[in-house]
Amino acid sequence: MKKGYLYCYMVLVLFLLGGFGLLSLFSPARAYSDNENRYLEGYPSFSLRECLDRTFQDHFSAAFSDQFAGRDVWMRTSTQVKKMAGFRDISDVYLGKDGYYFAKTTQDDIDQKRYLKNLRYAEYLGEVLGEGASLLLAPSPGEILRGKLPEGAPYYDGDAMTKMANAVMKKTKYIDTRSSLREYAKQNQVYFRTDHHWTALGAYAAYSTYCVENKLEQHTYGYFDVKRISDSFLGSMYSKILDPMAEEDDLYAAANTPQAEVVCDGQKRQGIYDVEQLMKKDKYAYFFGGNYGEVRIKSHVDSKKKMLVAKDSYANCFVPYLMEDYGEIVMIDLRYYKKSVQKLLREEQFDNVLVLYEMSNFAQDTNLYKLVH
Amino acid sequence: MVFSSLVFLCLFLPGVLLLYALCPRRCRNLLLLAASLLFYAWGEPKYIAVMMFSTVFDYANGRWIQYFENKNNPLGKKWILFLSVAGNLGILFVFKYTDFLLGTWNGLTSSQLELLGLALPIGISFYTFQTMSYTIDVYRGQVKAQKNLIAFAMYVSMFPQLIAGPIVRYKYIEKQVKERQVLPQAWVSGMQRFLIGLGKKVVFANQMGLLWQEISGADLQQFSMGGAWLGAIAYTFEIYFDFSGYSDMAIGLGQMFGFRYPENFNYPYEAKNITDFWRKWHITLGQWFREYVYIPLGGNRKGLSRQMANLFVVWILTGIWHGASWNFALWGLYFAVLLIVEKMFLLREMERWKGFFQHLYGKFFIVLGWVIFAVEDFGELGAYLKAMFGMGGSLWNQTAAYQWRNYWFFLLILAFASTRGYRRIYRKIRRHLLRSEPEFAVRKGNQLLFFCYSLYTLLVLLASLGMLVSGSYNPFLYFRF
Repeated sequence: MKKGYLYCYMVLVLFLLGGFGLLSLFSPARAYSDNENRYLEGYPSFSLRECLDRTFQDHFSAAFSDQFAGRDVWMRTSTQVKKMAGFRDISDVYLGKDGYYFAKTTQDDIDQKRYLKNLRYAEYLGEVLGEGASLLLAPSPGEILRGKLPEGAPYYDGDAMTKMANAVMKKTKYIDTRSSLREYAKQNQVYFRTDHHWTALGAYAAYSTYCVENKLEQHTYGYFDVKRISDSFLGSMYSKILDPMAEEDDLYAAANTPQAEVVCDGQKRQGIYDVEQLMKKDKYAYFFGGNYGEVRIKSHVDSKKKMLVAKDSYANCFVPYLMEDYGEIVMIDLRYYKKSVQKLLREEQFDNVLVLYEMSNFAQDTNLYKLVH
Repeated sequence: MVFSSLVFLCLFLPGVLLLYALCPRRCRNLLLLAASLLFYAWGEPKYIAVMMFSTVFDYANGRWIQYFENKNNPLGKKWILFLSVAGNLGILFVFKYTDFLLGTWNGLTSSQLELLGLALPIGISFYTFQTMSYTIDVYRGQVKAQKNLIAFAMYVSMFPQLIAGPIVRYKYIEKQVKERQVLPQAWVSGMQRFLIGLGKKVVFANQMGLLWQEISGADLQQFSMGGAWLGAIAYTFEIYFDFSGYSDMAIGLGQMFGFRYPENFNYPYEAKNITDFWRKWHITLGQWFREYVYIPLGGNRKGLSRQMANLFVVWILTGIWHGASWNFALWGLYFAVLLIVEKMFLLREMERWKGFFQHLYGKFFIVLGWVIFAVEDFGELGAYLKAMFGMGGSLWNQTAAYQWRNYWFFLLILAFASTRGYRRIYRKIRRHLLRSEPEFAVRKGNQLLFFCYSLYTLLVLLASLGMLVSGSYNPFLYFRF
């Protein structure tokens, strides 16, 4: 072999390894990854004590990986390699049909005991309030769009979970939105392809069931004037794997909602939508600008009815449809809500209380005990 | 530090390689020693003291043995050898087996002896075996004691083979410790070997590890025969590609610094029987036990019953060398029985079998062995084995079907990659070229092959970096060794 070729190879490999090493070490540190939707680890400062118990090494390694030059490109490479190997799920994300990505939630991920406990907390609300309490567990995307999952992909049994919910719920009304969602899914997208949330249409489908169950007058989809506000949404499922082949989602939102005063954790906001979020990666945060401990919405409508929603982010895109029917809606996110829920219920007279979660999230959530405290 | 980490690949390795190239010849051992200590201290900042003690201890023992040798004092030699072996085994025993024995004792007698709770220093089983082999070889007069402490410390702590082998006996590399040179050709093929090893670990083994975790970690109710076999096969591939990948990386790295390490794996999954398998799997460990335990015990020279006893001793020791837990002892016993049965009649019997059935026999017992190796708890092991033989849960279920569908293609690639397949294709192309276009083959063929192989190793590097940056599953399997 000619020496020249050998030296070329040597230089190339050393350049690849060392070059990326130096770049990662000395380029300015990124604090946040938009693509992955999380904070990145920064380099720790050296201390001998932390070196001896290895925390320095661990932090440094984590930071080096987080700050690695061209991180997103490397992640795409990895996804591409795994796709070439024929894998149909990567990092707990199913690569579904027609560009759909699903969180891989199997029966093993569901803790039946916790689910049962959480159901009982929701049931307790009905026992305290009598009429007017309901539980809406939004079906997981893979439950409604089973046909879009990879062939034979294991997924948790939503049917059995619904049966269980129906069995536990006596005083609290259980609202089963599955048939409505399936119906609307025939027309258009009820879940995002690249995100784990439902779309404005999916939320509307749930709204229509809610209206039937609570004997509210239901407005048509056309009435809400649902408009496309972004055509470049790449959501949380995409963030986990950064699949280069992913197609962007459209994001829709109801335009015709009543004027309202919105207060998030004591801060006044301009309406229920946050346009700035459309410039960012997580465009679903357009609804209310994200999640807060407490959001108060006072709509300028005739209705004096008051409603409490204990919820996860699925509610953010659902609640706008109810503003017409309730003069005041209080949304609480139990992860961040630090006050007593029972006290809130005593102090303010709510006509309706709704617990709204995505089903698998509800089954895994550890904050629902706060409902009874 | 481990090889399959970004800090090693992108900071430590290029740094050390550059410094090594710039370093004057007589400082090279010192540089490698410093680098190796840094390498070890990164992962074991405290236990590095144990390794340094072990180094100095056996350096001194070597010198003493040499001294008594020169003074013609066999008794003195013996005492020092005894001291060295006792010291090394003592260190190994304290850190690795004390809690294991105390725990077993507590379990048997329901007493409450307090455990030491010591973490196992990484690589302790490898370096104690190396230093022990050194003093024994000096005692036997096979090598002269190393007088230079730096050179000896460099031999013990040499980072390429420090934490996961191969076990390099001092006499193999005695000359290279003193004097060695690195030709560009050797450097490049060393790097290529390293990158292939990296790919084996990061691209192949880690994916299989994830599958094994998924299957073995699932609820017992989710178990099916199809799934249990897939899990066992996944682990079989994981351990091979992980371990042989590490050895490839070690040998390749050694080559870049001018060392020639012994081979550790020789396509073990091509073996048709267990005897052959153990000739091809972790070769340096097998040789170690053969050289320092089996033959000194009398080997096969003292009659059949003595040979059997020796085999049992060697294999149970081999078993618990892999980890201080009873399943490893059982694993060793399992192989002892298989090897004895093969020796007594099965190998002769099998010669009449069709090749396919010989392979079937070999693969079956290899895979079964890995299950015993991988599942530590006897209760879980029983459940897993039951599932494999269709006696627990279903034969087939949706999860198993999905996993097989998901992985069959990858498994085919791995099966092919664990044989000499690539080599055969390479040789065929070469032979074909030489026959039809001899002039081209000689002039351009070598270059073309070099380009293709170089490109291939670079692609493997890119894929591996991608996997590492994306934080894919990346375990270190030898923390129990």
